[in-house]
Amino acid sequence: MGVLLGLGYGWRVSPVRYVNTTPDLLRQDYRDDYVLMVAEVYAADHDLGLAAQYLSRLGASEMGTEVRDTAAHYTAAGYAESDLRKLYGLAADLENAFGSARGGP
Amino acid sequence: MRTRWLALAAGVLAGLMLGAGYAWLVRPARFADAVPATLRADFRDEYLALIASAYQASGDVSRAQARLALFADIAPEDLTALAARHALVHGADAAVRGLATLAAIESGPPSPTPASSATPTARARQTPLATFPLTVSPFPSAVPFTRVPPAATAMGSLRLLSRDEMCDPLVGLRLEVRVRTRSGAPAAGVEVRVRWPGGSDHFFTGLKPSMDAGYGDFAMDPDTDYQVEITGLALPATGIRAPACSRGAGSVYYGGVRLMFEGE
Repeated sequence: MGVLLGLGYGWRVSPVRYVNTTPDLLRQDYRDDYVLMVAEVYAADHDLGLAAQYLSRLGASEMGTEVRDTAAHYTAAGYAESDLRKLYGLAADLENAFGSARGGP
Repeated sequence: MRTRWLALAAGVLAGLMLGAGYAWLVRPARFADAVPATLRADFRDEYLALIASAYQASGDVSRAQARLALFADIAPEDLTALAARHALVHGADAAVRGLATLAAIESGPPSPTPASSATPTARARQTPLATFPLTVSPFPSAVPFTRVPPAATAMGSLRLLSRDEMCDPLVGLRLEVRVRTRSGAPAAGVEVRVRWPGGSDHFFTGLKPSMDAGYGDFAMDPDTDYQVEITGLALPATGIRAPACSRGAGSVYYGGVRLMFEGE
């Protein structure tokens, strides 16, 4: 009974409080917005190395897939076509450079 | 009987400690829903620089402000300081210009402006973290974003409007540069390059928003001729030199110079 109480307290009542988190722990909507920012920057400077460096912070095994997933979320949410174009453009260039192409616009 | 209760209490207490220890140390609650404000300092700086770079790339001030609002404790001075740190490491890249411009926007206009130009300064700080980005999302039909191109790229060419010597012991050998757009609005994020025999340096307007969003300054040395250029936007102003000012009774000190550039 004590163990159960302790687990409940540690997990529910007073869980470990995180303050120095890393980008790979970002909630999905923030993660998506992070990817969109990278795509916006990439659309302007075409620096794929810098974009990959930013995206590597998210810890995704396939960066192109990560960007495509974000594009899919934003397509469903009705984001502007210009945003989606930037995302798919970045995804395509990442896949061309690093492999792992997948279906999509 | 009493011993049995004591043993039970001790057992529960021990179990409680074991359970809490397991929950805190061995297998803490999985954390995968972090918000940007909880990022470690270096990642936080990088995130802010990314916001600034994205703003510089898209010119979408509403979106940039919504993103900045995720960091409730960020003040314009913090953006300014980050711009300076970022410039030291990465040079004058888009993030530096974006940070300077956003610092100026976040600090608001230096003086009352007509209502029609007040839109870009509307703060988004009240945006609840949990609802971003869905309620602040750029749905084209729901939230029309205000597009305000960064000043440095939107301004076109500049001309030197005025050049004044400043004899004030408190100002000293300060080279002040103020940049205005053609409409007279302060222009933040403009790179100013200063050259002198054997050296050069550069700075950005907008890093001291308390002075003016289009303001930047540089510490001159006495008896040195400087050339000041708004990178790529204006012809260099040459022969800039700290003036010798008189305090009376033969006492002389060095003063500063103020240059005003304006869009053509």
